[in-house]
Amino acid sequence: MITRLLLRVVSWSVMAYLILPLLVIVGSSFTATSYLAFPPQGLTLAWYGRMLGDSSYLAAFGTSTLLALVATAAALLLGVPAALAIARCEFPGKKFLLSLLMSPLVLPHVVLGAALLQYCAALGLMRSFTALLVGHIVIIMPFVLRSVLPQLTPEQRALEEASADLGARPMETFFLVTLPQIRSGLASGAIFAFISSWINVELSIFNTTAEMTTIPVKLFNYVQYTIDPVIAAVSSITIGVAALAIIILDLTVGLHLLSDRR
Amino acid sequence: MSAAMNRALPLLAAPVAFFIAFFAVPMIVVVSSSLMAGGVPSLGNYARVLLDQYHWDVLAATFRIAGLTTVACALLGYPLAYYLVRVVKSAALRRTCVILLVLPLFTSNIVRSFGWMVLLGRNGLVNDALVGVGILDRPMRFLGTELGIVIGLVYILLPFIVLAVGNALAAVDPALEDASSDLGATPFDTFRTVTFPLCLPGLMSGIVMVFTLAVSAYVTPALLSGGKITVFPMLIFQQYSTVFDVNYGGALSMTLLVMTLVLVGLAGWIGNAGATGRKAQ
Amino acid sequence: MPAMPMPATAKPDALLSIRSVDKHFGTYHALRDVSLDVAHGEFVALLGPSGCGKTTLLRCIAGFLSPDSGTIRIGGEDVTRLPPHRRPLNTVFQHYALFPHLSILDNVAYGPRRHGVPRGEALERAREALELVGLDSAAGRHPRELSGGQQQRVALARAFVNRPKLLLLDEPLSALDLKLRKRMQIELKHLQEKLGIAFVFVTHDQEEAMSMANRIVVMNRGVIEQVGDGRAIYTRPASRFVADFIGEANLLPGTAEGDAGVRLAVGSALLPHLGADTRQRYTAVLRPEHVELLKEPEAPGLITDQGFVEDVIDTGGQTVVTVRVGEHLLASRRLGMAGEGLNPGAPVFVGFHPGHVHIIAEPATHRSGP
Repeated sequence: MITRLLLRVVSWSVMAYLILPLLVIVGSSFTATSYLAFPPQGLTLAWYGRMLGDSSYLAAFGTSTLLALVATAAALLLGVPAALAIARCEFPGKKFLLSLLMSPLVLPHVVLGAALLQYCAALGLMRSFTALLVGHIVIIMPFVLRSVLPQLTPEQRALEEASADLGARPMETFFLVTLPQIRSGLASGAIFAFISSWINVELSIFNTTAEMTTIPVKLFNYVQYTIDPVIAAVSSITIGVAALAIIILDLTVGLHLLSDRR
Repeated sequence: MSAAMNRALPLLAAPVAFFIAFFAVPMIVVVSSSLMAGGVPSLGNYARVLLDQYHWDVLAATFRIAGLTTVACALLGYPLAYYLVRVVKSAALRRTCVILLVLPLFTSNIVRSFGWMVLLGRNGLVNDALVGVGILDRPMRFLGTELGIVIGLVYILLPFIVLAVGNALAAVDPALEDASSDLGATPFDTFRTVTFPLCLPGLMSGIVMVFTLAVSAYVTPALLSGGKITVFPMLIFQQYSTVFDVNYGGALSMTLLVMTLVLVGLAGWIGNAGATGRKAQ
Repeated sequence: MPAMPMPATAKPDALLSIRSVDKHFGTYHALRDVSLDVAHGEFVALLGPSGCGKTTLLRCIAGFLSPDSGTIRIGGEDVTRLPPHRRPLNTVFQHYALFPHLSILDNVAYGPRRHGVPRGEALERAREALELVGLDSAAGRHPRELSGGQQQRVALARAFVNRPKLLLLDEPLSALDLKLRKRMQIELKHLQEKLGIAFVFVTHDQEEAMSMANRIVVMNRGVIEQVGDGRAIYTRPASRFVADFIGEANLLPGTAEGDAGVRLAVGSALLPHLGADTRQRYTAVLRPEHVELLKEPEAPGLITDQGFVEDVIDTGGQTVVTVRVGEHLLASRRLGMAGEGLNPGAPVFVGFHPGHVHIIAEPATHRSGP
């Protein structure tokens, strides 16, 4: 009984610990004071107005969003065929290839960022959108593979064979049978990929400039010098995007974490 | 085999070419730079890294912070995972909690660390509370201490361990726990002899993941150190962004990479060794 | 409701005594006023279709579920609110639930260890138990290295090593293929006799229940429909449900004609039935093997009627001929190739002995059905 109570207290404390910082940020973005105050004193949307009036924030939001969208699209276009080949074909070095494609998940992003900075500099792409983009594609592709691969099961294979047997050409089979079957894996993979790109600092920081920067990098550079409610407003927007992504994920494919049926 | 290869090749050509061009080759460039000094092959950069006491101090601090973070994550994450999977009966409550767990994961490290900069400040909520309750006489310094960094990192990495342990717990067949208590084990004995060993692979992979991410974290330590504490990834960043010494920076990168890969290898080994414990059907 | 002769108080010598147990899951009524006694050394089968409450009842006995009301006593002691680990019984789980992280020997020694038996002695006992099921050679292996049948035996050894007075078995043979299942049925029966432990065995397979159990408890919709040995349940089913669930049955409606008896729809024979009441619904149960096919319209001692062949199914060893008599279908099972010359549509006479007709009376509102 005491163990149970203790477990409950610890668990809810930890949940509070997980939520508190986000609450503080969102709360203090509405403060009427010129410094960060939590609980907020007064209530104003002025800081959001200030943010919208600053074209550099809007530009950074634009860059972040464009980068995440293009990188996600590219990761899907590269990742889905790779997943199909890995799930459907036997070839030498398959395990190695899969480890290679998944390794950006565990590789320190600082190391990869540094490598891409040096490499892209040699190619004359230093600190360009392209340099950012290729790095992001590399680090988010594992999310696509990880979501799609488990759905390419032998049962799924039987459906494809049935389709071919009924006279469908390979491309028809892919679009009419395979794609609808792996839809939920694609959706969750794409959302994880998008978010991972959208929130990245450690990789992006090497290849951004003062003019071309992403929101997290801009925040990082800003926060090191000043903390003001504008930062809280910008951060709140990113939290909002995260919450939106989770809700979309939960409503479309469902968050089957911590439950038995997966 | 050749038929399979013929089918696989068109699918693999683009992704493999991309990964070679923008992942493998850049990494090879870093490795080869790290082995060059003054235009000739040399191990001098590694000597510079490994023979300098300062680097060992930074490494020690990095590992100390990562170690403390990992222990704290395990101690806080395990009970929460157990609570969410085994105690919470309401599916709606569990779902809400899972969303609240994933929300921080979907938020940038920078935003989350920034929240702690506010909370841990001299006049932040944490100090106010500690002084208000009477635990402290006067505000304590968190920012710029290893404790502050640990608090921030634990916060950022905790969801990983909760999800790893929670998913392992959810995969344990409840019939095994029933069988244990049927054979006369008390609830604590059942936890000790059945539940815990069966979730151990999940816990271990969570632990290794957290440790790996903590060792290679840059943003959180950079923000919460207040410039007073240096961790290893900061050294790499300095070399590439300000000094631009790709040879020395490469050696630093490789040092961090090798350490990380050793940990990941360990994780894989533990994962394989403990592949038992799934549903016994 | 079928008549349920059940003493209101526990028999003094009953090992397991269940009284008026009720269990709901939300709005679903899983067990309704269930009472049952099991004697020492008895082999009882809980038989019924899926969802009938048999597993729920078993889990209430084991302690994994707590009944909403009612009591469960084991050896006279009220265990209704006792957690599973403090109940003097053991369970063989449906999918065995062997601990995947422990060796076979450690799996079997698990129970004795939890009861404070020193490790050496616990292992010794485990070895003996494994010997009894013929698996002492597999002691060092892990569960997943064993076949389904071997895992089954380990689960059995692990359950009886504690020497419980009562062993609960939750469809223990359902995961095995047919041949192995038949063999295990015999082995299980022998083991039960050798150990002298009372078995409560959950199954949905009537043949399994018939061949193994001393007594069969037929359950449906959370209610015990009938308790009795296999023969009694087959020849004198207490309800339409039991008649239909156990074996094959021709169920023919009957009409009450007061003290005269019950009038059968086929053969329009009047069967004696004391106090036949028009408020009751009467059903005549007639097993297919008791329905004869005749060439003549009359046969001495038999109730006869005329019909037309509807269908002939020849399975080699036996033939089932379905005959349409008026609006009713009557199946007749004959040994050998009895279907020759009987083509669908051909006129035929059916006959049966009145002594083979079993009459069930149920309230007309009874909603029990297949």
